[in-house]
Amino acid sequence: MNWEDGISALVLLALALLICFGSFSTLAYGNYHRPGPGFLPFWTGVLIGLMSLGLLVKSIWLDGGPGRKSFQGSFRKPLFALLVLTAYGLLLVILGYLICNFLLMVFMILLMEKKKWYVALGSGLITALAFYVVFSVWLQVPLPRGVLF
Amino acid sequence: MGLIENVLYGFGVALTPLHLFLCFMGALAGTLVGVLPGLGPVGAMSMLLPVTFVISPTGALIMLAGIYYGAQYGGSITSILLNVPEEATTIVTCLDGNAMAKAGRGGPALGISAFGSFIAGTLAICGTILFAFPLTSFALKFGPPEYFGLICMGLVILTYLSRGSMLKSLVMAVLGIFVSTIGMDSMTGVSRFSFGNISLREGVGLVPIAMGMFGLGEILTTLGEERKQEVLKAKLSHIFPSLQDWKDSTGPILRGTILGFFLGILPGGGALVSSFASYAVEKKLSRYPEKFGTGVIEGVAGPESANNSGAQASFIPLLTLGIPTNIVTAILLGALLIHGITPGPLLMKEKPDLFWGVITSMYIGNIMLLVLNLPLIPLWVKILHVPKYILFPVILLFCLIGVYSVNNNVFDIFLMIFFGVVGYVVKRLDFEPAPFILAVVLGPIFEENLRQSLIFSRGDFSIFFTRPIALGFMIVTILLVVGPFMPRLKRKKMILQKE
Repeated sequence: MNWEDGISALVLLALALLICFGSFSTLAYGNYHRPGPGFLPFWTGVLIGLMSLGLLVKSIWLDGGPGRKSFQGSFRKPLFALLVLTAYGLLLVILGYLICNFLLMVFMILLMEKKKWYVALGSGLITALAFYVVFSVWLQVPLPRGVLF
Repeated sequence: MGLIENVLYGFGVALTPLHLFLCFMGALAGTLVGVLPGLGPVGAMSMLLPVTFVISPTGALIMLAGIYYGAQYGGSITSILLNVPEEATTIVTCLDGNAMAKAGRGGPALGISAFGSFIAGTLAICGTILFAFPLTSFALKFGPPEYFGLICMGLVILTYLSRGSMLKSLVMAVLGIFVSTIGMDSMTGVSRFSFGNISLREGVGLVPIAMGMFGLGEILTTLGEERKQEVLKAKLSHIFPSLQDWKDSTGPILRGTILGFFLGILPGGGALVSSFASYAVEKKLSRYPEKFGTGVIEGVAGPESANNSGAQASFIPLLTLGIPTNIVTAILLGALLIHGITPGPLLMKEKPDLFWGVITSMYIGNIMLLVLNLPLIPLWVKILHVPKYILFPVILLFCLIGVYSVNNNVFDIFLMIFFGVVGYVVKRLDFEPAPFILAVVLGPIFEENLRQSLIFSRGDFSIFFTRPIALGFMIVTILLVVGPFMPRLKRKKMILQKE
């Protein structure tokens, strides 16, 4: 049995059931003469459900062996990157993009290569300023300045 | 206006200083993106999409188109020198291109790649100009059932040609259609699956999805694995191919151009399919097929010409029918819709400056790329030495700023992060993200035409099978869906994928 495909299929099946239930209970299905807003979402749920059943059958009976291990390698760096990005999103409006860009660069450099702190700080500062010049000054893209500026 | 007058008008639009500058910037950005790891043309176009809000739709499309075909040129450099295809469309170039480089013939490989791409691009643009009128006239016969059939066919062709399981690709396509329904229903104004969130009521934007799955997802994948890149230390000399090289490459270039052009027009087609098909054809036609993979110039000339020809041709369905045939043109459609332009059969009449300006700018862009690529190869190689710890955070910053600036909404950043995780997970589990994104872009058109068809036919589904053009599309769709489950066709597909 291919465990990974099997679990993917079960997750998709659960999602399909939620979609079908959500479409039918909260939206007007309409009829074939005049399909309502719930019509297409419902049928996408049905199709996803049917295909995930097919995937489940394939993983249990047709695929020999446990399948390759897809999640090999380290998760530490990707997880840390996601934390940094989430913090960026939460702090962007408060601290402003200049400080957030600087902090993101510093943390990402330290995460990726464990460089000396002054390398990270220097690179972060140069990059944040370069982005400021390109996006705010040159392209006039409106970005949040934060409470400090 | 006749054809020649239209083309001259197009050159008049494309040769303005601003459009020339935008074409150059697009070609340069495309080449850079093609060379650098971690970001493809889709990610780059998504990042630069907000920048296009301050310019005209014509300028926006010229720049974004430049990124697409520029990336074909740039991707060849890493394929030949590093044996690392940063673009899927240049995978086959690695086979013989890198072998040529290792044998000290990297220069001619890069040279024939650039010249072949230029010749193919030029001929493909001529083909585009010739095909535009008849295809537009044909498209005027399309009604909602025909558009519905065409979109079904396009989605299914893309899933058929995707790597790995077709079932998984179909799941991604249908999921994409579901995600496209999130937000306000255009026909009734009812909010769907927004859970009371004001941001979700606008729907899930293309930019957070594309940047998340292709930009952030790729970076997360790279962070989780260690991959060392060895840049070829050999000196590059004689980038101009010899007379013998030209003799050997002429046939492959011409065949690649024609093959790439017709495959590029098809839904699901474009540069990717074209390059693979060309390699297979050259190998079959060669007097010494056993030498393919060891460094024969035909193995570079054909696919490189085909991928650029396919890239140019993929604009035809977008501009004439308003239907994108692959992810890149889906992003372009998204860009046009953001600018308030709906491409289709009437685009040529209503916006001739955009239509002819973009087509003629592609020719100018190809000239620029030839100039950029050949003498600047050592510079592009130097860029590859930029350390990853600088490169990836900078790419992330581009993605974050790009996604925020579309709606000035922090929620889009969290959406990008969510789809970044989704992109990371699905790639690991062998689910292709491309059908998902194409379906998200096509979803609203798909639903609108489905519902209009059913209203028109009073609920009778036979409308999709009684109108000849729609019937043709539905037959191809059904054959492609059923085909992989038939043993003989399944074997053929596996052989195709293996080759």
